[in-house]
Amino acid sequence: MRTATIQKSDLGKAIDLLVQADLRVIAPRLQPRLEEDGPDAIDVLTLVEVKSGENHQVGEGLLPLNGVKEFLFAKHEPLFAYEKRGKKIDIIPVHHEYPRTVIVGVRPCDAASIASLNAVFSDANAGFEDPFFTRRRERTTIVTYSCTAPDASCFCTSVDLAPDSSRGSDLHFTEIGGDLIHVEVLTEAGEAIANLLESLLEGEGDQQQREKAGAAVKEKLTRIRDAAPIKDWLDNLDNFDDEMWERLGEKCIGCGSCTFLCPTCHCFDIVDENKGSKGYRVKFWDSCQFDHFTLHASGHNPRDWQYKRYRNRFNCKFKIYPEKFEQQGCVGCGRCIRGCPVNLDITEYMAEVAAKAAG
Amino acid sequence: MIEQIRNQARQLLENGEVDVVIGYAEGSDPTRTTPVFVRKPEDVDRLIYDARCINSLPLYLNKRHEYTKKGWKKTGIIGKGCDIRAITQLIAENQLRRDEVYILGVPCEGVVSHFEKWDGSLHDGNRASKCTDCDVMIPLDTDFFPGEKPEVDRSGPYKVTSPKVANLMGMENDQRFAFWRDDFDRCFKCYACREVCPHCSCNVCITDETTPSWIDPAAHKKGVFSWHLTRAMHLVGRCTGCGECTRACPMDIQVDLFNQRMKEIVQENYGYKSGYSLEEKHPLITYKVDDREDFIK
Amino acid sequence: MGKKIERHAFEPKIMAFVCKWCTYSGADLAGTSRMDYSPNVRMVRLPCSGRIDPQFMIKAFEQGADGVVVSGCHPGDCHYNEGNYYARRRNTAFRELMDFNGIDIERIEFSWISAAEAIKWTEVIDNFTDKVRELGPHAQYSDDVVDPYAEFLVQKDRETA
Repeated sequence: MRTATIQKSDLGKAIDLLVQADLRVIAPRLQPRLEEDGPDAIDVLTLVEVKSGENHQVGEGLLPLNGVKEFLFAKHEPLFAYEKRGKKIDIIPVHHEYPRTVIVGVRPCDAASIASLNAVFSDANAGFEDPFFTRRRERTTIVTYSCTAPDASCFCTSVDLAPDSSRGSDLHFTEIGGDLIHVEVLTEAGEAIANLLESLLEGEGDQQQREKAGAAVKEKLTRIRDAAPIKDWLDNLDNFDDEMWERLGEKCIGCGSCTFLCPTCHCFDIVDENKGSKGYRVKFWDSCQFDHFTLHASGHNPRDWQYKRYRNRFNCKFKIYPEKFEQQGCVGCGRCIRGCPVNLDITEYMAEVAAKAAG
Repeated sequence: MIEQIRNQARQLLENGEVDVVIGYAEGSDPTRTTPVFVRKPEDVDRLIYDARCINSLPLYLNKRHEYTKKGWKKTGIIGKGCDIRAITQLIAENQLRRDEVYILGVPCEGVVSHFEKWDGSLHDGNRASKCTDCDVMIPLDTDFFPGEKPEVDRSGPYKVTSPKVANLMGMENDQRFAFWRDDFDRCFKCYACREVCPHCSCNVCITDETTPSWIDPAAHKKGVFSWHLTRAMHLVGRCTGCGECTRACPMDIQVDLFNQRMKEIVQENYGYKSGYSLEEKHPLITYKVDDREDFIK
Repeated sequence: MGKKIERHAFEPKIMAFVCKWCTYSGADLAGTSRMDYSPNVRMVRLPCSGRIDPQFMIKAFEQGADGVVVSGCHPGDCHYNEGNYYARRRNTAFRELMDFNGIDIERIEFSWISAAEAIKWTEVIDNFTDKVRELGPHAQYSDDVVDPYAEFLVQKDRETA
């Protein structure tokens, strides 16, 4: 589709235009640390709903703590309500709202993760569809923004992505020097957003400059691993009991941070939240790193040690996902590395596996 | 200093006095360190100690975790002063026996508050607030300590070191409530605050109980309020203030502010500091006839 | 006796956790002596004030209580000798904790009421009910906390296309 340019200083106006068009606009926002709060506090960058273009952080900072995941696959939501009357149980439907949403300033890794989630929640082959996810997905437009300053934990190039890749995005922004941003319209949903921003867009974008800017950022990535041999190595079931799993994973404390931060992790649990004779059946995020995730009613737990749980996570990302959904399970955002309290590093596993596969 | 620790660790492993030494090693990038389990004498050179060694290692001694099922009869552990207080507290709570651990104390000059803040040196901008006014930089109870252990006066009361606690207490109730409501909005209940805590010892946490369900597992306001209040309540008088809960929080919520405030309350009312003594009873399992009761009608 | 019945726009829900030996018996005495006291209170009888877990109070607020009463034997009177002393310490801590979270501790009342103090029971309940009535509904534990999914039960007209 078409290309254009936009001034970086106009991004605030762009958000205003989107808000005025009655869209729910999600953008990164920084809660800066206050000096008086002492050294323990740190800057917090999150994706939140914004009502105006003031104080937006689109294109600034690196990655928001939360990805786009929580706007498509809610942290928690009710499936239905119920009420018990004697022996009878009434099921009361709940009404979800799916406002038209545009998420601005999404990083390429996060955008790429949506396809992975989509494969789970609306698997056309399996004939299964999660209506909450798919309806939200249909009404959400993703405006991505190429990275300019990846940090030491980023490893997107190791999993076939790049700081400027536009997979999964509808409208893609790339800084091409000065105050200028190159705009690519990639889908019809993106076109609709571009039309709303028409007054701010100018001319045509220079594709060459965009490629050059992307390549320059790519060079800043230091964490590069070879993901190619991983799948084959994992496919060999002899390696399921390799000594490496315990050696690398024994320090894991099972906090689940990595899974909750991960843009492609999608496990959930369902409980009844009861109050007297009424209640809701609620779906909420769960994690394979919890000890009771696989706990059987008998008391038996097939993943009885923490390193086995982490082995499962690694297998999920590099074996199960590609096999079952033909999608990549890891998008290299590095959140699990930044967020891990004990510095358990998924790229160490990747390097180790690559070394083992090479013999 | 670290050479002496390594030598001692090597000797302990060679003589079979300990089965493993838990310490710190270089992490996967230069700003990070990682916990390491050293089992062979030749691996002791991996051990390091500097201001990046944030982790509270006594976590790995807590019975709730599987490490204790590994058949280690005696565990060597490298401890900063504050970590050794956590060990003392674990022993006082009968979670551990003193003869199960061999404590290699390190002289500490403070640690950074978050790995991200490490810029090559420790300074006021990145030193964890728990490290100001610390009286266990020379640790209390050790089996080995490199160099002389000077006498330190540790009789002073517990003082809150995070300025945020005072800032919050200076606010009106509703402002304080609004602060927590907004911060808790980010919480997605991964329970990292629980899992990194050296003192969370329950085999089944009350939040994982389903019959009855005391704390709603979903991350709505009800579930989140209930979780954080309960977590803080269960740590009253037991928390040794390692600050790991705040550091581990993936959404950067400062949950340890609750613990700091409660330590202040416990100090004011019962004159108790956790992790200093094996004999002194934890304040909520004992009482005095003339305890404060100005709030009681 | 017989108080004049007044009608109010807001009637608070008060939850009382009481010890069975003293306060419950005191309340029982109030009842058998035909004393009037505010009907806003719902009592839960527990073996001892030492059995009252702060979790109960959190749960009470979650379920929509506007105020919580905790009551047991006077110091020295505990049927189990020391349960109320533990309760006293625990509640000191719990009140400060709630306060640090910004939750209004005016809505938590702690009292010692013996089996003979039926009059004190009626006074405590009446005064506390008046106080909570004045404070109004518990705004901090408002509907979105007490019933997080209430809004999902309402069919919205404005279907956003």
